[in-house]
Amino acid sequence: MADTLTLLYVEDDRLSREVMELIASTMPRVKRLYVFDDSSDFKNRLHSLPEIPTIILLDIHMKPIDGFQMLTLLREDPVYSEAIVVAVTASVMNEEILKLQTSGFRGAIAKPLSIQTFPLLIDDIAAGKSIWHIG
Amino acid sequence: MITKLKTFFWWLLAVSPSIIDPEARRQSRLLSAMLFVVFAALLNVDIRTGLRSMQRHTLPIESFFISFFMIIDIGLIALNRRGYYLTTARLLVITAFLGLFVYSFFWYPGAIYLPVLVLVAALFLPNAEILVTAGASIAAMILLGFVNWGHPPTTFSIGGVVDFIVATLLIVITYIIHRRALETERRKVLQNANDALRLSEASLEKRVMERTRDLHLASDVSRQLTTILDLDDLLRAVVERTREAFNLNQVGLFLAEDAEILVCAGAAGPAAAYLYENKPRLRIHGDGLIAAAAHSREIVLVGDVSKDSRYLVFDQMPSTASELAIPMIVGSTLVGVLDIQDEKKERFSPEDVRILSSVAEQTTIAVQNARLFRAVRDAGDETKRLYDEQVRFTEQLRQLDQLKSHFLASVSHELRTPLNAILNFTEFVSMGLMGEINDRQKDALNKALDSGRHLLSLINDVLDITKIESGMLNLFIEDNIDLNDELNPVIEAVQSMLTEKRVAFQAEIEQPLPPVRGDRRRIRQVLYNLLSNAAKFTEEGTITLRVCHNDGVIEFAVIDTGPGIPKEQQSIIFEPFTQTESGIRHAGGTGLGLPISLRLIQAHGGRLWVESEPGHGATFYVSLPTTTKNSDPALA
Repeated sequence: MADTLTLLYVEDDRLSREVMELIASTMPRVKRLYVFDDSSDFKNRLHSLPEIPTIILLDIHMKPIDGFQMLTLLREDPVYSEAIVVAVTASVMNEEILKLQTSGFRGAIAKPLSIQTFPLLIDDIAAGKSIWHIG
Repeated sequence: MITKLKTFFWWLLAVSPSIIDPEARRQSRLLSAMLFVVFAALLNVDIRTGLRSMQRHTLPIESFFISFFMIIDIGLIALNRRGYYLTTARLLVITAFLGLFVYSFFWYPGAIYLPVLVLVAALFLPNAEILVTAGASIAAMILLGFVNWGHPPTTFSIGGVVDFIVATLLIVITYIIHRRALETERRKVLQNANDALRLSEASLEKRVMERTRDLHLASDVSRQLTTILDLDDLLRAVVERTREAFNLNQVGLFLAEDAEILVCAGAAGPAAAYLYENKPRLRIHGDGLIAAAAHSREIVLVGDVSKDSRYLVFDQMPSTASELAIPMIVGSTLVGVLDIQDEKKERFSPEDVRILSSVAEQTTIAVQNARLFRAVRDAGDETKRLYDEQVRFTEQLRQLDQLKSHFLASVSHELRTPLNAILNFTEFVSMGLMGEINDRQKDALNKALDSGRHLLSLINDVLDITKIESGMLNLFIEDNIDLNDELNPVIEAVQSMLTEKRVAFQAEIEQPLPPVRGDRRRIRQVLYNLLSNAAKFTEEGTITLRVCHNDGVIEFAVIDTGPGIPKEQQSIIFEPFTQTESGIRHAGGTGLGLPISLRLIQAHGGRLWVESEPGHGATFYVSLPTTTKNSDPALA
């Protein structure tokens, strides 16, 4: 297990991005958090990152492409085909969770996030666990 | 005397009327004629012999013998008239031989006729007997030749030879004449028979043809009828085709509306337009031939309507002379009456009645078919309508469900996203991450935080119960869940709820707990719900969590010393949106916790129930199988 983590968070809700930044700032392991404020030009922005993130956190309901399409782009990219991708979503309806599971997400973390549990979940995910923290 | 003799001779001549075989009669008649010729010839010889004897003053011994043979001849004629011509012929042969025997002792001219007798007899005998007779004659003649060797014929006269020739000629002529007559007669009889046969053949052929035509028409009518399933079309076709096929004046069809009324349902002929327009109704027990056929349930055939008191003159059909009304019956039910009228008296032969009855019978079946078809079609239409409605309804439901699902998803999303900011920013501030805060501020922020979390739990409950109610609840089954991982946070949370109450918490967990297959989050949700309920409702005493396991089943018991739940409310608490009074007083939630918990445990294949007595606390039990099958939404 790498001691330090680099996270990428793709989220179009400004407050959610701020929450994530605050929570990440309390996590000693997180060396760097990259944030995309929408999913446009996702691939290029991904490749323009100075490093490859350890865990990629994707909001699902996004424009112009949604979380599933971003996952597909990631899987098509040789660099990111095996990347750890986790959904961070406020939609916790069953069928959506099922879709996330079958699409190839490593896990899902439901909004609202919790400053207590989120760091633990990230640790588990980094350790290779599949986490479905919903509801 | 003469009259008697005449009568006797006529009696002899006539063949007995009791003889049935015409050939025997003919042969007998021929033989009789020939025997009369023989008799005449014998009489001729007898007279002449007798006269000669008288001239010579000798005994007329020859005459005696000739007379003897004449008597035999008469006897044979008498026998022959009975039709025994064969027997007669045979006796004649025997007589001839007897004559030859006599001839061998007494030569007399009459004996010359004996071969003639044989000849006559031979004409009637079968071939084999003729051969025997001929053989016997030749043998007898040769024998007699030797016996009478040296005795030349005593008498030989030209007259005798002439007699012989004349007699023989007479016999031959008689035979030929009779034979010809017989042949003519035979031919005539044969001709008659032939004619009769041809005639009967022709009439038979004609009748067969007629019958075939009628049957063809009947079957044609029937066949066409059975293919017509629309009742109105069918009835129209019945009457029109029947009228056409049988060349009838007027055909009408009346159907029974009920046990009392017949209604005209089809008509062809001059009154058709009137009948179709007015659709007359007839009383089954009323007057008229149609009603008579309907209530008697028998065919009513009237060859001359002017002679039948039941007949009612129908204005539209004043020239009707004969009428045939055939009831149409299925089982014991009168379907209707087929009524046929014609301007010709005695129009309907028994054959017509038979065939038209079969048409009526076929029509009855066709009417039944059409009615069944109509019923099935109507039922089919109704079924189809219901089905379409059902499909539409199902589609609407599906759309509603989708709408609800989308609504829930968006509600979930729209509420949780702002809550993410509210809860987290509040928490960051209260944690001091945003700078120093005092205790009053921290307290206020914590209250805000609690309210926010409560709001979140309400949202979650409403979402859960909606999922359950719409059958969309799915479990996320995981293997090898360590229940301690789920129990510990719950216990911590409950203990934190009890810090300000004089309530002790006890956990009696039978370790080690077996690994469980199920929905980790949902199991935790149920345990949290039960324990937090106990914490909410218990003001003093203890709350005990007892966990034991046995044979693939884990049993949880949450025991409190709270107010307890009255019997009548113990089932209500598991119904959604029906909090008990005390539950409402505590105002601790939506009242959905227990219904949700019950469904979640049921979805795991487990049971959740309560045992309680007011004043003695309550115990909630959960029995959970350690191996839950894959999630089945139907269980929810």
